[in-house]
Amino acid sequence: MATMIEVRNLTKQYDSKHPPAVDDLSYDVQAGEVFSLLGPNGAGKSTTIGMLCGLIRPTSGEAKIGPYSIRTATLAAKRLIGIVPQEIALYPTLSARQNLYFWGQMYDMQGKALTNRVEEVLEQIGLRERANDRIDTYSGGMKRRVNIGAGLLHRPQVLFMDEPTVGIDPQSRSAILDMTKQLNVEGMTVLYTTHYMEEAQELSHRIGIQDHGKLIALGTLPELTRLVGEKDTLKLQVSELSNTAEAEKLDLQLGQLPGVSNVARQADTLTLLVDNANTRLADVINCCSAAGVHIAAIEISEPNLEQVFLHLTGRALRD
Amino acid sequence: MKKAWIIARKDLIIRFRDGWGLLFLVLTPLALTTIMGLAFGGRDDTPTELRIPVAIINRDQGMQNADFSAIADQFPLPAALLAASSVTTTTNATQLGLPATGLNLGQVMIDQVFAAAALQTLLQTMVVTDESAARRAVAAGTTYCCVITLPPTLTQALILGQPLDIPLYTDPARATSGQIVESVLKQVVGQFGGGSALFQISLAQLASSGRLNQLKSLNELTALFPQPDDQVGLTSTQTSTLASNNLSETRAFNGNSLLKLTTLDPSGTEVAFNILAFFVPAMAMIFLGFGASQGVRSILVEEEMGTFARLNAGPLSSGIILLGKLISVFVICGLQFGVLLLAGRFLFQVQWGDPLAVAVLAVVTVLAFTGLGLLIATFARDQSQANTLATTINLIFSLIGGSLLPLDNFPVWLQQIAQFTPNYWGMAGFTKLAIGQGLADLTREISVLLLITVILFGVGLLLYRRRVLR
Repeated sequence: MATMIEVRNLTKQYDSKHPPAVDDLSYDVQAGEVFSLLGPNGAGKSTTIGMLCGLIRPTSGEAKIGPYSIRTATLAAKRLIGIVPQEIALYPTLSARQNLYFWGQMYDMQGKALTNRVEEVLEQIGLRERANDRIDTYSGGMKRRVNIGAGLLHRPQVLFMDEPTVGIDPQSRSAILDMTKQLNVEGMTVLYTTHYMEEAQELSHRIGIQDHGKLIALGTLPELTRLVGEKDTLKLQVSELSNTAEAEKLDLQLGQLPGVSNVARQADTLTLLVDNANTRLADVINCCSAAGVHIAAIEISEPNLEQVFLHLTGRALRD
Repeated sequence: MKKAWIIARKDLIIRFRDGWGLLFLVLTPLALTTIMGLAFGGRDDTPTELRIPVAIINRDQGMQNADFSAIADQFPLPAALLAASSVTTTTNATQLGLPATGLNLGQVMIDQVFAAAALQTLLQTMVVTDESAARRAVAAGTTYCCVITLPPTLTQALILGQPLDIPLYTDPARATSGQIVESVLKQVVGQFGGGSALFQISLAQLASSGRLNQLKSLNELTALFPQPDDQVGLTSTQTSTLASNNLSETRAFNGNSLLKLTTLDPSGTEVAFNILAFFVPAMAMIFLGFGASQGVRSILVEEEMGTFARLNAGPLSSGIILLGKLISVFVICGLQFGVLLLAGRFLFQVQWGDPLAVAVLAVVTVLAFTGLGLLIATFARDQSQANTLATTINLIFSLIGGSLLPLDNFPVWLQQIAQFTPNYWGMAGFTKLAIGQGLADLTREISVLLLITVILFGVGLLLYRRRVLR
């Protein structure tokens, strides 16, 4: 299989006072692959995509789209890619059809070929009926769909999708995931960034986990979950403790229980990585009771990407 | 390049869909211009006196009758002059009624032309003898605005068609007044000069017959003679424009009275000079500043919407994107400026003179303001900062550049600073047009505006490049 995206020691440091936003990334994405970059907000995913699209100049390192270097053959590389930005990058006072026409023209499409392709994409995103309505009259999900349509109008070989499901309803999210899968079935290479592990699990052939600008893990879902062994995730919804010191004391006590390897707190949710959670549950409940913490809900789950992230960073993915 | 046009077309569609935006761009300045014009006594039948104080030093030594008669025989008198002067015929100097002391055209100018009623509403001429003292007074900004020195060879040069240099010493702090005096002087000399001895003889004859005093104005006088074209750099079109234009200038001279020049149009009908000839370009330039800033600021709007990044991710250079944006800004600002100038012409009867000169000046003015908008947009961190910067800079430029208040009221140092603003040069250019000057007279204004454009675009492009390539 041909390499479609090649990343070598890619680094971006905006200023010397702060650590690099992207730090020495190296990986390949093969043609026809859906590759997800998973990581919390601020992990450097958008900066990575920005560099791969030629929007941000790398501090060091190299990347290629197909055979073209993003540094030396930027325009040629750009012709191969489509981008679905995190924002709704559309003109709100123009209609969906006008927006698609415009973006098609920016990729050198014209005439009947452009007209036909616009209609095809409108059909694909399910907005043919409202194609002449202004974008600012659309719902969030509809805007997201046009946003994707504008990115794939020119049939790019690689589609960069930067958190395309942020802030939309479950139905629209599901439609976008289905569309992404369909595009991949048709042969498109997709680089997908998200902080939703469910999306990465559902879509990806391979997943790169990025944190603080570094790639901390890379592999298929089974390869990644094997990193945490047979540990279960135990999530406890607890009452808030009166002060930070008490909360930290409880976290420490839970971490010292036999079989518990990681403890992360986010608001009223405690996430623990536990060997065989069912057998350790009583100890965990007792520890919380002794600290005066009321448990409102308990959830035990099999190994997943969240556990991988917790295992690798000591933090929950949404921290 | 095609993509730049597509981007420009898209921006124009978006701008034209914004009804309120268009209203702001065109109707607001139009309404303000009208209100200002009415408030400051625009078109009415009561001429307002401008009375620019001018010192005249007459060093003209004149010509003796003997010398004069020798050449007068060569020239016939025009029928119109004969009719006006009641002189039957003949070209004999004595018969023409020349004074026994000979002819001193400098004195004729002072007694008959500068003292004419029509010019008295414009100029307050004072004949003085101490040139140095007069110049000191001009430099100090007191007593006089300008000093005209009529040279010793004035009569001889005019009669014999010799080259003539008439020094006009003006106060740089009263640039507009200086331009008006210069223009009037050019016209006066133009009527006398150009080697047409016929003209001088006729004029002298009129003066001696007392007929000149019966004429109501310089225009009425000049209407009797063939119009000498291009004699002192004025074309017939320009001369005509000067005579017919609704020239105006806000002046706070002698007690802050707002003043206005009145003259006759070619048909002989008295019209009031229109203060809107000042207010139309002034308002147009203020709103041009805001319009251009708002237009180029669409880069920041697109940056925040994410469409700018999407454009940059496409197979086109950032330069093409910028070009597209600037084309749309130029078109919109050009339309805005053009509509206001046309409104001035057809709604308020302001005569702009040579259409080519107006077009060239308008284009370079719009370019300069587009450059200013680019600099502001690329310098600002975000839209909010750009709004603040644009408002502040445009108001300051309008104020010190002469779009809000006449520059003559400002101290010299502030007027020197004003020369760094496009408003100053735009206003200077349109003032020249309004007093009948043409493209050739606008070389300095157009050159400086182009220089400002190049500098603003140069810095703006550097900042833009830095902004695009993070």
